[in-house]
Amino acid sequence: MISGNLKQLTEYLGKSADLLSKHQLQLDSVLQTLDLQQHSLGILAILLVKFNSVAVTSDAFEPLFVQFHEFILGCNGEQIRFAADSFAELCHLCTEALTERRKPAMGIPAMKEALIKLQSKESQLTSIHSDLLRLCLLARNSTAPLHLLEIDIDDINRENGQMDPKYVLLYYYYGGMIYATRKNWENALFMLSMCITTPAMAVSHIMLEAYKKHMLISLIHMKKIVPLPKYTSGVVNRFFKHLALPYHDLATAFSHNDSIEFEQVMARHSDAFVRDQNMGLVKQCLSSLHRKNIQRLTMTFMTLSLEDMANRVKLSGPQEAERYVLEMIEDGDIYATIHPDDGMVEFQTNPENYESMSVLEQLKAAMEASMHLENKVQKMSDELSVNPDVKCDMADSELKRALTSFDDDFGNHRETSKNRVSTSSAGKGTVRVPRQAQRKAICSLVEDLRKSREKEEKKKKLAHKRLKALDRGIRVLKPDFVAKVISTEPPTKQPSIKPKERGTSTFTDEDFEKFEEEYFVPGKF
Amino acid sequence: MTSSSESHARIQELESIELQDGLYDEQYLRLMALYLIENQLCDARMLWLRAPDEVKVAEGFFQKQFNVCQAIMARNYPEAYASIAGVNWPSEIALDMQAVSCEYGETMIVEFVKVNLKKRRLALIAKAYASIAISDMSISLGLSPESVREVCSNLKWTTGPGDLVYPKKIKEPPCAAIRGNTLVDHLSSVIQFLE
Repeated sequence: MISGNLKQLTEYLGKSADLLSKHQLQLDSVLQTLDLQQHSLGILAILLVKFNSVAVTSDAFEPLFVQFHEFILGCNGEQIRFAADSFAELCHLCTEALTERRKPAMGIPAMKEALIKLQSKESQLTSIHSDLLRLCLLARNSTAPLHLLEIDIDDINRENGQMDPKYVLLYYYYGGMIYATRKNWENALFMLSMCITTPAMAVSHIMLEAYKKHMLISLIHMKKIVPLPKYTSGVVNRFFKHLALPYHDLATAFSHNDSIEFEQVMARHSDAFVRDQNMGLVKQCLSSLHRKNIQRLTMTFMTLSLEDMANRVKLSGPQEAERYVLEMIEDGDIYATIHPDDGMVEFQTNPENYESMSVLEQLKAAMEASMHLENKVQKMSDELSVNPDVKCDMADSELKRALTSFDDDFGNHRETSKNRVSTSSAGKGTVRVPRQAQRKAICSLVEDLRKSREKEEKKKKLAHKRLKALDRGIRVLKPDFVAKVISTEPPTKQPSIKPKERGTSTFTDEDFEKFEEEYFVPGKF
Repeated sequence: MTSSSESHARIQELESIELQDGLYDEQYLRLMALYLIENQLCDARMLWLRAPDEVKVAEGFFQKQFNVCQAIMARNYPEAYASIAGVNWPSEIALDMQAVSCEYGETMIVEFVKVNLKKRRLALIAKAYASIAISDMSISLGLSPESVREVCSNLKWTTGPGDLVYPKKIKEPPCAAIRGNTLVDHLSSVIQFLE
């Protein structure tokens, strides 16, 4: 009965875990008789039992890990997708074990392969993604998961309904941390904001930690707190301010542009920052504050002495001021010329005329990225419009509200969006999609949904009208005409006379009007 | 093939070997040297953090390489030059790195790091200073005053009283012009999309 039906086999194996664990000693000999490609589900069930029973610290773990790695490399992806939850659980158990054994680097290639096996497409998020990022962070390897983080996620693998939202949050949180270690602040902010804005009904510790890091990184990168979008869950705004009070104090001190006050707040809450392992980021915020204060001077002065600059920014002396100015010129934060003979700094405006080939290249890349995104959203919209599981129950007013909310939200983030086109930290010229294009794409998706809903309603009304007409006039109609009329009706509402050719009706609206005039003039019957 | 693309290819190769089978001690040194050449300082730092303790022997070669990395990260250039000078690069690594062609004609790995660093510093001096003393420039570039004078005359920078040099902005090499046909093709695809 079971042979050939993988779904039933998965269910059966799920119920057999106790039986397998009772016969642990025979499991290895059973494994030898099974083929990786043909019996992937069976091997998965056995490995799961073994991982649950073997002590992580024991010597038996090493051979078990070898078996796990061989299974991941050789298993049949089609089969294991039937037991996606068990497969993911196996990967979680292995990640835990490797973490406990302090050998995270060992698991990176296996996890990379595992998530490819589980995915139905490249842009699908699985719970194994978070395992891989965790192992990479623990192994201090920030280059291994980079290609994975560059892929825009547009789908989540449900893993037989067992996908825990925790793994989605962890993916974005760890992703933010990896980008932060590479000082790719822009992408780090994006990942962390994705984590914070995930719809939530209760406070999540992962979101809280992401919120703290998001605050610090926005101070470093944007030199101010980036407001969260309007679609952020209510719990974030309601509770996080109280739960992250030291960070809010720090942000307030930062906004006063006073480095002494900032240092005082740093000292006052140093315990909390050390406990959260955020002290490194906090120190970088102080450097960012000095840079911000120098940047502010460029708006007031045309020329300024290095000594005066050091006094105003509260630096130790002209040497430190010169060092900061040099760093900022190198990073392109300010445009200035130092005159060492008289110790003056001359501030200038941006010399870029936006007429070079490199600007054209950037523009071209940004447009291509926007077009790609628009096409992707259009494709998703098309898929949704033919998906019977998706019901468009949103009222018009709700749609309008959603659209207005997007407008307001992206209006608030205009300053952020200006800087969305940039190169990646590796300097390979990766172009991020501008927020404006994202907004346009989302609005177009909502608009498409609204239109398809209107079209659907119109069709329903017409069908209903036709049905009523048929009820009344069926006695006097020729059978082939009836068949022609009802062929557009939904199957549940069909009268007893079946159409000859469903879905190929040539009965137009004009025909129907003629038909109504001819047969349903009051008093005709 | 430029030296940079060759270095990137080698970095990728070593990174994938590290993921699959792990690296030998010598390969760690090579990877760190390549990160320094390409100025991938964050990656160099992470490599230091994840390298096994056996490689991180005190006063060892790997430690000296990391000192260079730290000095460049802190933008302490005199310290960086001193650290580079203090590194006696093992001959096998130097020989290995000779395969990476160098536009300056130098073969030793230490010169790759030094030349790349000097190039960046020189570009910054040209960008940031209206005038600079030769002594300061000498510290900044890690060169003797005579060599600095030679570099300045090669760049046609004028010298003034009191050993002052007046840098001129270094023009960045223009990007390769986009061919007309390619541009028209791209514009037509954009217009098609908008319609």
